[in-house]
Amino acid sequence: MEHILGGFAFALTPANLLFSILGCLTGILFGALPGISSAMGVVLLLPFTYGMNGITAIILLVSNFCGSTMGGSITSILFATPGTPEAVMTVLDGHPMHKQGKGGKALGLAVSASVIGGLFSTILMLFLCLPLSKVALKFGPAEYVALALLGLAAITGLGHGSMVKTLISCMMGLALATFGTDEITGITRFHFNSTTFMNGIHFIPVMIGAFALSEVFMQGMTEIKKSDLSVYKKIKVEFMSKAEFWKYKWLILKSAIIGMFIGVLPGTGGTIASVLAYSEAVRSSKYPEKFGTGLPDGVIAPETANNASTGGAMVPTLTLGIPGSGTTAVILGAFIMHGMRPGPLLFITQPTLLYAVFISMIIANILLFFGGIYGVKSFAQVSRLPYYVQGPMILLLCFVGSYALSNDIGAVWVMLTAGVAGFFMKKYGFSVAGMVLGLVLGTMLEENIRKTLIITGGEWGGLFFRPIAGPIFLLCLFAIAWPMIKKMLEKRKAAKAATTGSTGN
Amino acid sequence: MLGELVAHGVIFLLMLFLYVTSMSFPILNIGGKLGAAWWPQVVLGTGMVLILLSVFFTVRKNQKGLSGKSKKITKKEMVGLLTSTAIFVFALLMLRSIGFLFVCPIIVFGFMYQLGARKPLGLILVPLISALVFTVLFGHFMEVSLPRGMGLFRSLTYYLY
Repeated sequence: MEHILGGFAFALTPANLLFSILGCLTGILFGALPGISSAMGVVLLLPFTYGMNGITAIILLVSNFCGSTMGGSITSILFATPGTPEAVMTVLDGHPMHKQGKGGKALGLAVSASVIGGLFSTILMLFLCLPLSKVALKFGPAEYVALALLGLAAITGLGHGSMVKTLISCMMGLALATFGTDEITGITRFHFNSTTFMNGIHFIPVMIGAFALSEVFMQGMTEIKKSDLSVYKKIKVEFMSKAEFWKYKWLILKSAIIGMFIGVLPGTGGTIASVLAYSEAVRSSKYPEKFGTGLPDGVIAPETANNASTGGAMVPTLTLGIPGSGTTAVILGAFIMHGMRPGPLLFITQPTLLYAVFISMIIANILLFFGGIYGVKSFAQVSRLPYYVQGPMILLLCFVGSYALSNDIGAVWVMLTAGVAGFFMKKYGFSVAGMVLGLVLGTMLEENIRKTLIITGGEWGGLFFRPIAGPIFLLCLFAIAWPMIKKMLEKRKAAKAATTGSTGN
Repeated sequence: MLGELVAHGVIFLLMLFLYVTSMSFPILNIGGKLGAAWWPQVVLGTGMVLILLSVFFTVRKNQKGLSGKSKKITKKEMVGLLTSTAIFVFALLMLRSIGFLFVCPIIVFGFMYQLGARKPLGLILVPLISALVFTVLFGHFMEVSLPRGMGLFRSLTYYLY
């Protein structure tokens, strides 16, 4: 307890508080700019920390991390262009909400959910970081396969039209994920002598193209009526009300736990957390067919999870010295640069520092609410512009967002191709969301299946019959079968009601 | 229905092409027979079977008259898509020679016109201002190494980032 209080004393000094505010605000700005990921944002701030004291530097960087994870949702909702990879799932329901004139509500829910998720995970991490880091070490490749499959199981609920077309879209995503160097054998697959393909296809240009670019293309083809654009004119940000909090309490709790736990697992991060939380929200929903059409649940789940993952991601970084995500890898570098070595010994040698980091994250998450209000409001002003100005600006954001990922023009070509493909996919009832899910989870799924089979010498049983992976696989089966069982039950119920009705008559 | 079948056909052919390409990957036997081609072939094979299944359902639905709203792409939509793509392709092809700073106004002007802007002042000012803002914001402040172009175009960018 004394270390926690010591942490408070460190984090609440005026200088540290000021840097926490600065980190948070710059984080929201970086997050909202497509192409500037959380990791890149932290890298951009790193040179400014050279002259600072170690704890202050880390406080600035972790506050930036929290801010950018939330900031990504702003452009996701307004322009269907995820500001950061973590905000990838927010596009699916956030942007349709904006198109229906509920952009203010979507933005408000995103900020509220992010704050709640972030606070939940960092407060719990204060007490649970050591036991959770031990659980994380028990996760092997088989467990990662189970998690990836659980995420993919969401597609059974995503299909608004044909389930087969949704599965085809998912296969397309999984196939795209195989481009580039095979991590197991080192062989470059489907490179066609292009450096872009040699490095693999990143899901961000595909996502930006399929959602944002195709949207601008579609607007260019239809005559824009003034009445259609009225929804873009005024955006009044509405935060989560008390009634909404109670309505979505279980969704928030589930998503926060998923986010926190996925964050703890090394090598995963906020993107996988938001995919799994979205998937779970679809699976457990009473109206899964409405996801992707502008459902608040589809904004709350990924936003709670991706910010909850920030607290979780700091656990392996601080307690084991293993970064949980790309951003925490940069933060780990900052620790070392300032003469501190995260790892098991940190609990013994510098426990106050450890708690100061978590407490500064709690402060950052509280500040996020106020920063979020201004950040969201200022970005919402862009929506007042006529669409013939907004559209080209979105295109420039798409351009920079794809290019800045790897400073490769090839990624912009990928984005353009995805934009054209996305147009036809939407037209003919294929699921763009299914394709993105496949692309995000594809590498994780393949690599870990093959790793498991190498470990077990080709024994498939070693993949399924494990204490942690087994139950997750069962959950996957249930998630896949449940929509079909539900349909059958509903049919039977309707038939029963019809027969009782006819006999009653 | 024809458009839908063509879309299925295109995806099938692309998957088949990738499947055939994957057959040339060297096979390395590590832990069974899981070389670099194993996973792509599983995914592409499944995808192709699903496409055939989807074609069957589409045709059957159409025969039963259940296909619902027609999913035809109109001539106007096709022209719009081609124009938008052409603007973007032209801009991308010019990128290496004239750089991001000068490609920006082309994209913005082209799409503003495409989206219905007709006021000359807006069509001149918005592309210029947005090119400057985006280049300074991302190139200078965010340190994104935006393409600079060649010759004079390249030299000019050094004043900004």
